[in-house]
Amino acid sequence: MHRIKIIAALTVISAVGLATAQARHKTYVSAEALLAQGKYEQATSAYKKRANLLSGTVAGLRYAAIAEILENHPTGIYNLQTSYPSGASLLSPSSQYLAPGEVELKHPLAMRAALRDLAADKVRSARKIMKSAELMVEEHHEKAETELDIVRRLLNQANIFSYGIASSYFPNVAEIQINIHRKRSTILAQEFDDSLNLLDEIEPGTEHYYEQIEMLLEKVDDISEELHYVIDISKRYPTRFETITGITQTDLKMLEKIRKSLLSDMQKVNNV
Amino acid sequence: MMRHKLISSLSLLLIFATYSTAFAEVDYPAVKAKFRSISSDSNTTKSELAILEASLSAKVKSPHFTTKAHTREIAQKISKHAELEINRISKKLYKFSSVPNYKIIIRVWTDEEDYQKAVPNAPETSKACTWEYLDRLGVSCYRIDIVLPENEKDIQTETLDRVIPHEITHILVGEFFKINADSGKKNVPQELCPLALLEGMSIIAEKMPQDQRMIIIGMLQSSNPNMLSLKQLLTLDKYSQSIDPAIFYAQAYSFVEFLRSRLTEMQFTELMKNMREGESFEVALQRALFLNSSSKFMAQLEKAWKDHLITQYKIVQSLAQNKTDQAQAKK
Repeated sequence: MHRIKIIAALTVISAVGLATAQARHKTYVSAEALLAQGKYEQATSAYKKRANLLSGTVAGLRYAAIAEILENHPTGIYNLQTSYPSGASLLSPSSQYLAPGEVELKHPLAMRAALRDLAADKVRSARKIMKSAELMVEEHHEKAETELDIVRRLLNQANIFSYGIASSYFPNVAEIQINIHRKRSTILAQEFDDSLNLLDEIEPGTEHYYEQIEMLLEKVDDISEELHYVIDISKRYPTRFETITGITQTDLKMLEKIRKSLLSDMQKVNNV
Repeated sequence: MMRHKLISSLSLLLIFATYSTAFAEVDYPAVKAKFRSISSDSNTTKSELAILEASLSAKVKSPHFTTKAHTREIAQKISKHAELEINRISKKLYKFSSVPNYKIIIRVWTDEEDYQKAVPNAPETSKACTWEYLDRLGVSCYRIDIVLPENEKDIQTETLDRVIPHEITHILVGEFFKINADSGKKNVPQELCPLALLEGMSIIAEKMPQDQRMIIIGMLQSSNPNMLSLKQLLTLDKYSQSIDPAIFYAQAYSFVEFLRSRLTEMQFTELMKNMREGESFEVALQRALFLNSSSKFMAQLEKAWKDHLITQYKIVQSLAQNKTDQAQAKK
C-alpha cells in the first residue's frame, strides 16, 4: 500500500516534470517561430518567459540576452558590427555570411550574430579591465584580484553568448592571477625575513623565542599556500607556464626544508 | 637553525613579471632580425667611416628626415619623396603605425663599394638597409642606407617607389611594435611581429606592380616544390635559414595581401595590436575576428590563403596573356 503511494507520488512528480518540460519546449518553439515571423514584441515576451523558466542556468542567461536584444531593437533592425559567422569573410568568402551593417533579426543567422556582437562587447570590456588589473598587481594586488573576478564573469558571459569566443583570454587571466600570488608570496617572504632578523635579538629557549618560531612557521605555511595556488593555476596551462611551475616547485622544496629546520629548532626549545 | 632569507631565495619568482610573455604558448613564434644593431666588428675603421660619411656632403632636413647624399639635388629629391611616403603610409596605408618623434637619417650612396663599407652588416646583395641604433646620447634612432642602382644615377622609380616606401614601412611598423601602449613597457619588435608580416607589409607599401611576385607564387603553388607552409613562413628568420629570398618575399607579400583583402582595416589593426601585446599570430588573429578558439584555425587559414593566391595568379596570368596578345596583334 505504502509502496503504491510512493509510485503514485512519483508519477505525479514525473507528470509535473513532463508538463514543465513541455511548457519550456512550447515557449522555446513559439519564441523561435515568433522571431522568424518578425513578430518582435511577442518574441520578446516569449524569450523573457523562457528566460524566467530557465532562470539561473546558462541557457536562461542566453535567452535573457536575446530578450534584451529584441527589446533594444523593437523594429527588428539590427546594426551588425562585423560579418557573421566570424571569420567567414577571411576563411570562406564564397560561403553565405552576413555582412556588417543593417540586418533584420528574423534572418536565421541574425540573432546569433547579435549575440556574437554582445559577446564581443563583453570581451572588450573584459580586456579593458584585465589591462588595468595587470597594472594594479604591484601596488594594489587585492584590488587587482577583485578586478579579475569581474573579468572572469565577463568572459564567461561572452562564452555563453557565443561559444568559445573568450576562451583564449583565460590564460592571460591566469597569468595575472599567478602574478598576484607571486606578489603576495614576496610580501610574506619579506615579513618572514623581518621576523627572522628579530629572532637574533631574542634569547633562545625563552617563550618569546618559541612564539617567534611559531610565527615564522606560519609565514612559511602562508607562502607555501600562495605558491600552491601558483602551481594549481599553472597546471591548467602546462606548456604556457612550464617555467614558472618549475621555479615554484623548487621554491616549495626550499620552503619545506626551512619548515623542517624551524621545527627542529622548536624541538630544541621544547627540550630546553 | 638555518638562517634562510626568503626574499633572496624567492627572488627567482620576480623573473616571471619580466619575462611572462616569453612563456606564452606560441605556436608561431615571431622571429625577426630586420633591425640589426650596427656592429663594431667591421673591417672598416672609424676614420674610414668618418671619411665615407663626410663624402655625403649634401644634407637636407625635412620634418621627418635628415637626408645625406653626394649632391644636393639627390638629397632634395629623396627627402621630398620620403616625406610624401611617410605621410601616405602612416596616414592612409597603415594607420595603426607610429611615426618616430625624431628624425630618421637617410644616407644615399652612389657607389656600391662605399655602401658596403659604410654598412658593414648589410647582406652582399642588398641595395638598402634599415638600422636601429643608439646615438651618442643613447637615444634610439633609425637610419636608412640606400645605394642607387648603377643605371639609376638620376633616381628613378626603383628607388623612389620601391626602396623608400619599403624601408619607411619597416620603421613605422617597428616603431608601433616598440612600445606597449598599455603598460608603456618597451618591446623588442622582432620578437612580436613575424618577419614575413613585416616584409609583406613593406612590399605592399611599394608603389610598383607585384605581378612578378604573384607569378612566382603561382608557379610554386601549381608545381608545389618549394612552397613554404604557413607555419614555416611565420616562423622564418631569413638571416639564419637557407630559404630562397625570392620565394620568401613572394609568399610574404601574398599572405599579407590576402589578409588585407579579407580583413577590415579595424580587424587588421586589431591583429597588430594583439601581437604587440605579446600574443602569437594565431591567437591575435582569432581575437581580432572574435573567433571561437579552434585548433583547426591555422589549417583553415592556410587553405583559404592558397585558394586566394591561385585565383590571384590566374588573374595576373590572364592579364599578362592579354598584354602579350595585344602586343602581338599590334605587330
